[in-house]
Amino acid sequence: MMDTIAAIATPHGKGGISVIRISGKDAIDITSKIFKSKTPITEAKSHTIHFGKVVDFAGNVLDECLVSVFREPHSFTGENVCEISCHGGVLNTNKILEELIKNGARLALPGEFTKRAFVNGKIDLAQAEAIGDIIDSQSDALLNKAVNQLGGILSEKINQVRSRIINLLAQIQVEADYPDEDIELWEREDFVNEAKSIYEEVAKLLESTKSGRLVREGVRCAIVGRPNVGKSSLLNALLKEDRAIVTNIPGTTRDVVEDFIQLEGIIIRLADTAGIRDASDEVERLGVKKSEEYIKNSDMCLFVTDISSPLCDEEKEILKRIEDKKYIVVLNKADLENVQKEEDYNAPAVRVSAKEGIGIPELEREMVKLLSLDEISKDREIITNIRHKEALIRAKEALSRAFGTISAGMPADLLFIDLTEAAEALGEITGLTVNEEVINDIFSRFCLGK
Amino acid sequence: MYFRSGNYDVAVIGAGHAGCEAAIASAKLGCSTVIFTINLDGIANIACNPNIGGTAKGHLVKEIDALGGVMGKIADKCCIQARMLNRGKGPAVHSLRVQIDRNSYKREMKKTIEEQENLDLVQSEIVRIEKRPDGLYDLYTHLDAVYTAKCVVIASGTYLKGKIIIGETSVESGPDGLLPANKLSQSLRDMGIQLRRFKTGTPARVNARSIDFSKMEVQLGEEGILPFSFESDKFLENRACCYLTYTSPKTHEIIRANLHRSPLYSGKIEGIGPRYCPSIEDKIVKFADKERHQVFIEPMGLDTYEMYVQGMSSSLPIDVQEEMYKSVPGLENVKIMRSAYAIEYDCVDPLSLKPSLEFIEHEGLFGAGQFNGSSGYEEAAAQGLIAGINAARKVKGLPPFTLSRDEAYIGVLIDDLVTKGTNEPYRMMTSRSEYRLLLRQDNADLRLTEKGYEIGLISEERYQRFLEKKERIKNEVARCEKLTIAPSGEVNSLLSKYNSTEIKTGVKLAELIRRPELSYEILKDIDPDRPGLSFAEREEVNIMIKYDGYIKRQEAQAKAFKKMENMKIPQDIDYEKISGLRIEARQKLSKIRPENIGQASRISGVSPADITVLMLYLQIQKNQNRE
Repeated sequence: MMDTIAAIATPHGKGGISVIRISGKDAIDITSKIFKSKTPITEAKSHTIHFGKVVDFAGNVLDECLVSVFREPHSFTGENVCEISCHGGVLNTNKILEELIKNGARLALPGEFTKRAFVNGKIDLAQAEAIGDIIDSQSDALLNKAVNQLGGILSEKINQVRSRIINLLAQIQVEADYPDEDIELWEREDFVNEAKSIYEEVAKLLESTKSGRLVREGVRCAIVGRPNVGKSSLLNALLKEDRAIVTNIPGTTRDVVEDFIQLEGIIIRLADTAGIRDASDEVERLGVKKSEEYIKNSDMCLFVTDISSPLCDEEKEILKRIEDKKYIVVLNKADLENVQKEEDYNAPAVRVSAKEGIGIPELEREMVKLLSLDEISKDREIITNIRHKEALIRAKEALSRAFGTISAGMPADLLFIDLTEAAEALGEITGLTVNEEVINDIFSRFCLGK
Repeated sequence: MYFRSGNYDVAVIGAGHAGCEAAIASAKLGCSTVIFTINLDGIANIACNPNIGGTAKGHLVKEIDALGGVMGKIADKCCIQARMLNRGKGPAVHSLRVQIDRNSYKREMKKTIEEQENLDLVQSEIVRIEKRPDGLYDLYTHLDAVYTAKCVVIASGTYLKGKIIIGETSVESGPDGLLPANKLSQSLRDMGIQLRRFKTGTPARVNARSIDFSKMEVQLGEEGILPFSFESDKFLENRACCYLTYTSPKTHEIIRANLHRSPLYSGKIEGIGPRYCPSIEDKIVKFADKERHQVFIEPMGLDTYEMYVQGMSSSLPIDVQEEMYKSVPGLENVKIMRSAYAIEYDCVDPLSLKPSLEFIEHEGLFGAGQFNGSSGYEEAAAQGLIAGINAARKVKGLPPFTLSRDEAYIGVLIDDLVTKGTNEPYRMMTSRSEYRLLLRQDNADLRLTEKGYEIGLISEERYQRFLEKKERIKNEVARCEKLTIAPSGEVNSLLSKYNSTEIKTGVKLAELIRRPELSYEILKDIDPDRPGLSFAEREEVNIMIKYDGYIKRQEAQAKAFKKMENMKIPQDIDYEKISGLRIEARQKLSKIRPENIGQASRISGVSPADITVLMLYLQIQKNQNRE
């Protein structure tokens, strides 16, 4: 067994509880040195949870914690594992980690837990990546996708496509190796049709990566409108309606303050573009530019207008800016006199009173409809992982080169180069081909402690 | 009483296609060499199909020639019909196959051995091998002579405990009625070498005078075919033809009615036969709905009426054979001269060999050919050449010579054998090679002559000629890439003649060559400044330009492959300590002891997940060492 490693397993600042994971042959011994409970955990059975206090070498109590004990080989990494659930907070958690290291544990390298789980045969390659996704998942939908991937649904789908390519390869090869035999082979037309159908299948999987991004990163939604139409109160109403608020996604858009709600398990990142302006009052021009940029990169917009007054020039200007986008017209202040009508717009429109909380569920339904979020959420084959997407792109390119070879009138056996490449690219997703770069790539994506 | 008969650097057991190449290579490299055969008249026996080459096998012969082996030259000399298979397909799968005159082939090989300096040819059966405390090997003959050698190459073919089975009858015998080697097996087992049983088969030989060829299709040879050997530019000559006929419904009836008498189905044969070379009874059972099977009638030589009945190998009893052959159109009155038979023999599991073909557990002992679990003359010769080279290098204290999968079919062959092993007699196929567009038969010399020269099997003179040829090809490819063809009436009329789009602006000559409907040859009239190149050189220029894009992609793939090959595994690694490896993988890795991650990844029973575990283990190990 390998030496003992420790790291904080929960992302910093996410949630009120932090988990520190310790894995290795001395994991239980080391933890027992700082953790005092009724039954010493050195005597604990596997898969048991213990309440107690974490103390430093001087006997000062650092925290009251729960410690889960897993004995090898029945743990995530296949080694002895302890998990300390302590009260969150960077300071507190770091202090406990320091104590563990003083007692002989080593700070884990990025992805090292997962690597060990992998080395000990606990998980396969696609699963290893799915774990990264679960840990990273901000939303329920992504979690579902990750769980499905763990279960091998994606692998199964890709293996199906892959074995069809391999079947084509076999056709080519048997013809080359047995020129004298009168073997019945596919007609060229059948061959081309099958190749085409495979190509389309790969293209479809690739297409799903688009919605995969929505699942993975959330839907960027810009709230636009002239001042005083009630953008902030709409934002608040949406946030109020949805209690399952995710507090923050660090490092997404530093310049834009986003708030989050979940619809159909998918995260909607709401940004009040007015807020963008307000944030940089003194450099108004810069603010406008940022706001424009956010709108440009958004997946959808909410155009907020005051239903009690007619559309003004400034608003028409704003509408022009978002006309290429998917957007919903929010006819706010519906509790006042209704001057504007839904029919005035070429886009879905909803009457809402943000102040009174009227029409919010209808608005949410419209948003779901606009991006088919319910479909995306249900689709179990969506590719959410960037590496998978790259492999699919390579497979698709190889298949399209194979077409080039056929249509140029080149001998069919030359197809083996590109068909092999396509099969190998798909194999990389499920771990059927091994390539050092893939492995390095996968494991470098895992951050410390995951 | 034993008597000491001689001391040699290298001793080769068996003078078939593997043994001959091994002995000649070793002797040429300056090692005193002795080659033993049970019967001097059985040297380089063409025990089955009277042809050499074929898909992927033709590639092997060309590679043998480029490295300085002899099979290609002798096959060229004894050629009576030549065909380039797969000509309509891509250049990777073009394969030369020649029908040969069996008796002259045997004679030519025997003479080559007799003429070779440093090489002694001895008719004797080796019955025992013993390793002496000083590391040398003692070889005991059936006549109680003892020979001592520093290195030994075993190339026992199908002779090792050979057993011929025809119907209910079985005889201890080598092929063609030659004596088997019955005693060596036990001696090898005593050394701790595990043996297993493989089988193969051959059809009947019949008298041409009893055949009605009017009922068959004539299969002519092709003109304008370059020989195997790169040392000759002379096209091969066609001096004989083959014939094609088919089995009849009656043939199938006869076989079905007599299946119970087949040793294959009665359980009399225990050895494992090759899937790709099934007996006629096998074909009829496995492909029951196929109405007829091809039967090729091939001459055994110009000095005989014996004909080989390809496609109808069998181990049915001779009375059934008689009936069965006579049911084939054209063979109604056929006279069988040699009956079809199956032959079982002892061989070794090639997983116990290193890529040099030396036994992992027995320093100085090498295996080659059918003894290693392969089948085919060409596969045998290729291994014989490599084993002979490596035995000689061992004697001289030089590191072993190996070829990798992206360098030669020989590399693929040996890597497959020693890494993946085989559960049936192993045959080479183009589909076994991942980089086959790089490993073409036309460029075998460009790939390997340099290596043959470094080893010492290619003469200085041949090497110089090769360098000049290489230079001419390189220059001509560069010229074609650079030369712009201007649109003109002459150019465009040529293009339209070949249904090629006419040009409106200047186009590089190479671009025109790349058009599928055109070639280097076709364009010669609009390219008056061509240098005088040989046929082979022109062909090479055409392929290199035409398939440039595909070749480059294969080169990129080969480069990625090389990366895995370069990740060495420490030889003291203890696989039992890596708990993440599945038990099967742990056992296989411990047994085969791969030299690098690439080789490990090709071991059957070692999954990609195991490889990843292994790579991570090595990486973690490295990290820990660093700390």
